Amino acid sequence: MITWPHFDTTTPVLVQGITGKEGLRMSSWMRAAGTRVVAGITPGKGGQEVEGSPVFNTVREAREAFPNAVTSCIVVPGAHVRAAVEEAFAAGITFVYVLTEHVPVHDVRAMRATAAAHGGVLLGPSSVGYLQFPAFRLGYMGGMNPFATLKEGGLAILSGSGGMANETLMACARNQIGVRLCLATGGDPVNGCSLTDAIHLVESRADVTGIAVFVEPGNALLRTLLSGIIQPRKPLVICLPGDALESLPRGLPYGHAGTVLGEEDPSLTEVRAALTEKGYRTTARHETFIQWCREIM
Amino acid sequence: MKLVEFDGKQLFREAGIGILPGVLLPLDAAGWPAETPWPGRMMVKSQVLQGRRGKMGLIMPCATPDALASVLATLRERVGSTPCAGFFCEPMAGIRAEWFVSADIDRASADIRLSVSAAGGADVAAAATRSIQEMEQDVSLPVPVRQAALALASLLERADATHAEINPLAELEDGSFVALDAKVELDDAAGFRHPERAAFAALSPLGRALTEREQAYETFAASAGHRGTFGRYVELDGDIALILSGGGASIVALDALQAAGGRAANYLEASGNPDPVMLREAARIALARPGIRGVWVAGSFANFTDIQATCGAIRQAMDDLALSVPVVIRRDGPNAQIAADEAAAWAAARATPCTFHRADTSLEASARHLVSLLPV
Repeated sequence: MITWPHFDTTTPVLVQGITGKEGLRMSSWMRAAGTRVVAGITPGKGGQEVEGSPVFNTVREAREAFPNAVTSCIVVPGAHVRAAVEEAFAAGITFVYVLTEHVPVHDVRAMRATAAAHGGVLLGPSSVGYLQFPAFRLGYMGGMNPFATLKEGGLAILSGSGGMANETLMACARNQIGVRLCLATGGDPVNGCSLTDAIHLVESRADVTGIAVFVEPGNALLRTLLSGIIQPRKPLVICLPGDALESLPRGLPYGHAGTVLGEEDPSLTEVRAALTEKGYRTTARHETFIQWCREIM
Repeated sequence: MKLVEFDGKQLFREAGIGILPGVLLPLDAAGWPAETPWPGRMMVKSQVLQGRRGKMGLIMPCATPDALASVLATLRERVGSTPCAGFFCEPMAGIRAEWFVSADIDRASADIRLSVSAAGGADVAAAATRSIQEMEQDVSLPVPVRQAALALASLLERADATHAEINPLAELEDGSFVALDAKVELDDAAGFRHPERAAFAALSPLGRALTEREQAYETFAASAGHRGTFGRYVELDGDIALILSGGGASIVALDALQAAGGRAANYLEASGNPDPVMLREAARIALARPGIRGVWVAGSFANFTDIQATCGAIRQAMDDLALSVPVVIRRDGPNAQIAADEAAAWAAARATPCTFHRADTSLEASARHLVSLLPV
């Protein structure tokens, strides 16, 4: 099981790849949401400054200057993500968040193993981010100024999809549903932090009183819930869409690399019925999902 | 990327898995190549991506070089418009036993998972799975079967494959083991470190020939650059053109349209703040389909996609095509109010019915609204 660090507005955060276009934009959006970005890392660009933060050549150098910084965000091209993750954990980072998409799946497997060997957490790749109260945000979750409209409460929103995580988060804001945290694992076939890992995390947190999960066909969570490998005790509601995939060629990913309805898979109606029988309210419709979020809170 | 049998077997050979010496004939081959000696009775196998080729009549025996022309003609007729990379001729072998062996990635544990069954062949049932360590220690299996399974495991990592399957792995009468078929799926995200993939047949995985617009989209997507994600474009048999945004939202939206009684003309997903110039081009491909009666631009509440730029690109595509069917836009996120105002002004100037829903209208309600605008 993974242990999640404590985050708040004082938590120092590093950004690997900060001088790139994506890195610059993500750090400025994180700052806008109140995240304390203290330094960036880009090999060969040590000594520069970005929006007032120093840039270092290596994570180790950044850690020497900011010894309390143990959280790093990675926005580098897919081919370099694995090396950046390994560098971060080797330099003493304990929480690594990766925005980058299109990271090879065998690299993600290796990154997961590295995180586990260091007892650290890997969120992503392809994750739009993480948001929580007390106000803290990694990546883009919640848009430019999320804490202006969100209400603090006990709901945990867990999603493979970043867009649907935000869709759910903003619907909670409109409906005055109090949220504790919102996390997107990323839609890849293998995630650093899976939906199963995320459920373990929120089960262990006293400040989370209900769980809303958006999950797509093919996600391993469906199997872990149906087989009873995990048995969440907190109220859990599930949105599992995908009926329309049955009219598309099977065995291919749609939307996310990990969203696949296999040729031999049961229909989603059957999967939903099986989850419901296990005691997890499961719907295909997002509007029903939001109604249930209100009910469990 | 899914590989045809012939290409998969090249990876098998490099991984040390036994294969029979075969000859790949092009799709339009008239007969056996004159310069190559005829090795005896052959199986002639259509190089399509579909499974169950034997049952579908896409594999035929051939006894003599003279009979080959008619075998090829029959196979070509059966293949029809299904994408096919040619015909692989492999000597017939006497088979003593057939095994099923596969390797893939367990999505829950992220470990490589090996499956072996002593009942290989066309009707293989669920096979028992083992980890690499369990396979190394499993003395109940014949050594060549274990070796093949472990070779597939290392092939996955070396070739950046996500799935590799031998069905059947045949034990021949001389005691040797050979792969008589090959199914390999490669991880597209790792293409940058595998220049050798350029030699593999890149067949459409849709199981049919691409339509003209699907072909145009493939060409477009290959050159779309790295800003945003241009996902799959698949034509369906409905009349509502879809431009979807967000991987998860695209699935919710398709379901919502289906539940509202609307029929999608296509699946198209573009997200991650796509370049407006590229999005205009992608939209133009989808919207050019004849018979479109409505357009739905739908997505989740964007985290960072510029909604104004995105909606502007799609309106430009409609202008390019002088398309004036009802449009419903359901988008929210950065600059959404400006996008809504611009859409209203555009609709008034063109007299095109256009509704802009922000996120306080659910995807489901937006789909119902669009369907209500279209005459039955």
